[in-house]
Amino acid sequence: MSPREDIVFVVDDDFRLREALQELLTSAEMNVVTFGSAVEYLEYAKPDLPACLVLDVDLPDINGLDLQTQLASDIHPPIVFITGHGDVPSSVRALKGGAVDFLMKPFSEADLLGAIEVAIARDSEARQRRCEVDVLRQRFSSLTPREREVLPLVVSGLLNKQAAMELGISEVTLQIHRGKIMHKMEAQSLAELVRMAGTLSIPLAHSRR
Amino acid sequence: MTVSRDRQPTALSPHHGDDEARHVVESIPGLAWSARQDGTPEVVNSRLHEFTGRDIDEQERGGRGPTVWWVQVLHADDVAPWVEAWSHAEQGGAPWEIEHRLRRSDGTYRWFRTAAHPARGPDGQVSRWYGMGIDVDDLKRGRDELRAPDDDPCPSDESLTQFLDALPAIVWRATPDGEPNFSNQRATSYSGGTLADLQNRQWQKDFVHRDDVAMVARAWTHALETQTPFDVASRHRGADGSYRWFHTRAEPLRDGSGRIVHWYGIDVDIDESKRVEDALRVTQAKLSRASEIATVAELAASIAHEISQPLAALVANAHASLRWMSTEPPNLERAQLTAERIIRDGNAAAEVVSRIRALFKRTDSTRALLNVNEVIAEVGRLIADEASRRNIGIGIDLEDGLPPTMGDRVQMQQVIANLARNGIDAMEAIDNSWRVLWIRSRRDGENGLLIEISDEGTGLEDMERAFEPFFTTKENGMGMGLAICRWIVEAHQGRLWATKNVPQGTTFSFTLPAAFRDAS
Repeated sequence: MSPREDIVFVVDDDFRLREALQELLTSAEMNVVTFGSAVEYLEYAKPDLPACLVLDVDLPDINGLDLQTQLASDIHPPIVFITGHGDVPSSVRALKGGAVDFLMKPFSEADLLGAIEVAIARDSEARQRRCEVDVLRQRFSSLTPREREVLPLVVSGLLNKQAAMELGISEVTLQIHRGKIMHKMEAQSLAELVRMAGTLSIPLAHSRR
Repeated sequence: MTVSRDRQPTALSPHHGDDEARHVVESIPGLAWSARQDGTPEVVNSRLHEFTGRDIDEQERGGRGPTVWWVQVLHADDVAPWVEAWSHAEQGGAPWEIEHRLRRSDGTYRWFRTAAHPARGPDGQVSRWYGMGIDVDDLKRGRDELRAPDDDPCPSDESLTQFLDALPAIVWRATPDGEPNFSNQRATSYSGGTLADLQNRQWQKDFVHRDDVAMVARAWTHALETQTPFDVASRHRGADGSYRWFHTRAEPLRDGSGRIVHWYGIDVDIDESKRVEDALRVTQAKLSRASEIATVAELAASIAHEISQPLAALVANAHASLRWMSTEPPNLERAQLTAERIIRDGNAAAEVVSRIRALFKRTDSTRALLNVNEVIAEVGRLIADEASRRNIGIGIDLEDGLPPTMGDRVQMQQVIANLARNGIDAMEAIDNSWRVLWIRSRRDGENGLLIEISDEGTGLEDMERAFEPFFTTKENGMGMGLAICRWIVEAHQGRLWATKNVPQGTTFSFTLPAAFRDAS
């Protein structure tokens, strides 16, 4: 195992290419796991690491592009397509579907490694983002129902007085809720709380007045 | 009103007065007369007198006799039947009736139907004849036109002729043996020729387009021989020398016994629609050329894919090998392993290339003495079922006693089966009617054999291009079949070529050398 904290999955039905890519990526100090089919890849228990999927378009069990479509709804590593048939519609479809690159066989080392690095960087970022969201969700889940009602009003920019009137409570009570929210969400400022609400996709509440 | 009368007045009726009887005779709408027993007229009413313009007295100058007066007013062709009717009447005294023409005072003739009855005396002997002629001219002419006698080249009625001429088509009639003997005005105005110019099959030579004449002549002969409807499209030359497409249909009219009386035909100008059709066909031909290119592109793509696979591995291994050598310290073991894989992948790519080459060239040929007729019969059995499912019969016509040839049996089967399948595909592409694919064998000169596979299919546009690799007109074809067939035949010192069939289809012919000079 290379010291790198990432992994490359290769799915291609040609064993010679699997061997060659295993060898090439290993020599480039990457962690590689190869698969002969889409099913093998899907059944594999993947380590929790930034990853890249190098995917052959012409697989025996499923077309690589169709696999991409199936994966789209789940969290999955960015895809670098490799193909022996390079047709424009396929490449357009692949890239529109979010693929990092669409490489024609035989491809150059630089193109492949470059695409893999981009993919892994993208996955790292995504993982980071997912991680942040997870933390915020955890903090949000610690809020009381009343605090969850107060949060959207506060981040919408309503004055305490307005927010209190909206909920039919006293301004003092609202200020207590607001302090608890800031504490539980670990927000240092209102601006940070607003950003967190955006990350959690909390809809803004507008005053009815 | 005048009544011409005999010098001896005649009692017309015992019950009425003379005037009353005379009034009836003068008023009836017919030519009334009475005659003596021998037919000599005694009294004619004034209508008869006025019609003929002849007085009955004139018979005296012509001489007496039953027909003398009548002969002067009857149409020459009707005298004989008239005389015959009288002679029968004189002998038996039976009433008679006859249709005949009478000459009017202005010299024209009109048809009459005349009936005569005898009056008998107390002794039972005929004493006198009473007759009346009714004008049936209009009736009779109408009937004759409907009858349209065979020897009459043209319907006599003016309105019918006008009707035929006004039809927006060429209308014609031909004798049972196919000679045109009537055509409407449009035929002559279009072609600029007369009916006589069209006869003796001249219409085929002079008015049908050179490229269509053989087909038309054959179809017409076929229709006449089989007595089945004729239906062709062909180009007809107009008076200005230009050609237009016509759709010609003809059907026989038969008499009660089923014998053909006449052929009736119609030629409809379809030039406009034909041009549209042709334009469509050109477009389709272009489209099919486009699909040929697509097929070649597809084949090229699949070859590219086959080769790209080992090449991709080869390139990746080469890079890996370099990396293992450039690590610090170099990992020579893995560098060597990847270098070995480079060789392996290079060989795999070479293998793909030789597989593709094998499409063009078979090397495992085993030659033996072959009876071509046996090979044809085998292939015929192999493809008969498939052909029959596709509504195509396999006709096999083999010349006996052909010398053997030296060849590869499997390859020969492939050639014949491939050519036969091509023919079947080409015929199926036209329509679903029953067609026959012919496979024939013949002697070709002293030392050769000729095998022909002949279809009535869609035909080839370019007889030579068909043999080029990757040339195909089929949706699923690789375009390699004919190229391989030609290669096999040439490897057997033979030749393979294609010729156009008339009216349609293609014959693929190939020669093979006889294994040895035939002893006979």
